[in-house]
Amino acid sequence: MSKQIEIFLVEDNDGDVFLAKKAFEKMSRPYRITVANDGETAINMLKKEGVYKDVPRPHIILLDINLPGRDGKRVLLDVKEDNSLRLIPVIVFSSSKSPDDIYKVYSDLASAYICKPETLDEFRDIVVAIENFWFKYCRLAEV
Amino acid sequence: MESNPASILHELEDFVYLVSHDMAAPQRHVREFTKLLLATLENNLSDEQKIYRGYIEDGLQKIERMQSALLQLSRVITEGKEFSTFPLLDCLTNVVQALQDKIHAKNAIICLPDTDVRLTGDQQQIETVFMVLLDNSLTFTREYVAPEIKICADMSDKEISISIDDNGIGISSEHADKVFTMFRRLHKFGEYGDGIGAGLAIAKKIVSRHGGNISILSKDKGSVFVVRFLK
Repeated sequence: MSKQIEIFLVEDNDGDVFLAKKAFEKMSRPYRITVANDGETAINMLKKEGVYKDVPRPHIILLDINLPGRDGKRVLLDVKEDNSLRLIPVIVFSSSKSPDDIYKVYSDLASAYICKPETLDEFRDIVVAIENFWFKYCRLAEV
Repeated sequence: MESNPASILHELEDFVYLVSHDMAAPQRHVREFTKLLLATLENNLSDEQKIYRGYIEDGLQKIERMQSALLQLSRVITEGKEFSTFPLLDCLTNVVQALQDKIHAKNAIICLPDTDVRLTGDQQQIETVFMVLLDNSLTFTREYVAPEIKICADMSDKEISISIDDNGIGISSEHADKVFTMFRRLHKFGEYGDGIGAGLAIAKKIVSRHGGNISILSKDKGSVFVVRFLK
């Protein structure tokens, strides 16, 4: 895939957004990250509502499950209930290791559940793995 | 104030969530942004700045260890297993096995009781108790004196008492109670091992979950810890 990879990050914590962006510098393909700081905004952006009409359609969504207001689980449901958005793989990031939380997220059709990395180095490894898996070996649905 | 077991359990679960989740992000940021900051300065640190860096790194490491000890303490209640009945000697043998390297390194002699006493409880937790006590005896040792640790078991109508008697540095009677307080250390950090002062508090919590008690007796040379379980 030679065109720019569009990544959509839903994360409320500025520090974690910064670390995520830093980790994504590991990508070897061209990419762009669009960030939503809360669930409500995330859905409006993904649906290109109003002022968000020019937000690019992402190839992949990275979703923090713990968000203020409309939480990540709700965002996941909204994405998977939308006929067009549901084709986009959603990778959930959570600090929870609880089997119930993991079960719930897969039941709601997340593509992967990743425990939030503790360090930037670990996050970089995850970015490399995401790039290899989703953008080297996988073929994504085109709309 | 509510104090029934269910609400206490609920409070503890909230506490675990707070310590493990809510504190994780700020902690991660201090650690990772310190690393990034240092990476930008790496070759230009003055000697004084290197000292600051050392304190930040030590502090962070200590916070992480204290956090994991707090979780372990609360999990005594929230993740305790159902009780079973098992031979005390099995439990002690497992602990000695696990501490083999330290026993060997310290040239220690461990004397196990010749007993067929059986305990009823959460075996994994009870092994933790003896692990803490034995490790303690192997840590607070006299210089140039090989540790000798004698474990005895006594049974009466009402209780089973197990004593761990060592020839270490001992604890003066005025400090005897403090050793069971979380994060309370009687010696400078690093002077006797690098423990953070959590083991005995966790051991006490486990024993009290089993309806027993744990105490320390001072003696001339060394200390004796006594764990009592109701029969």
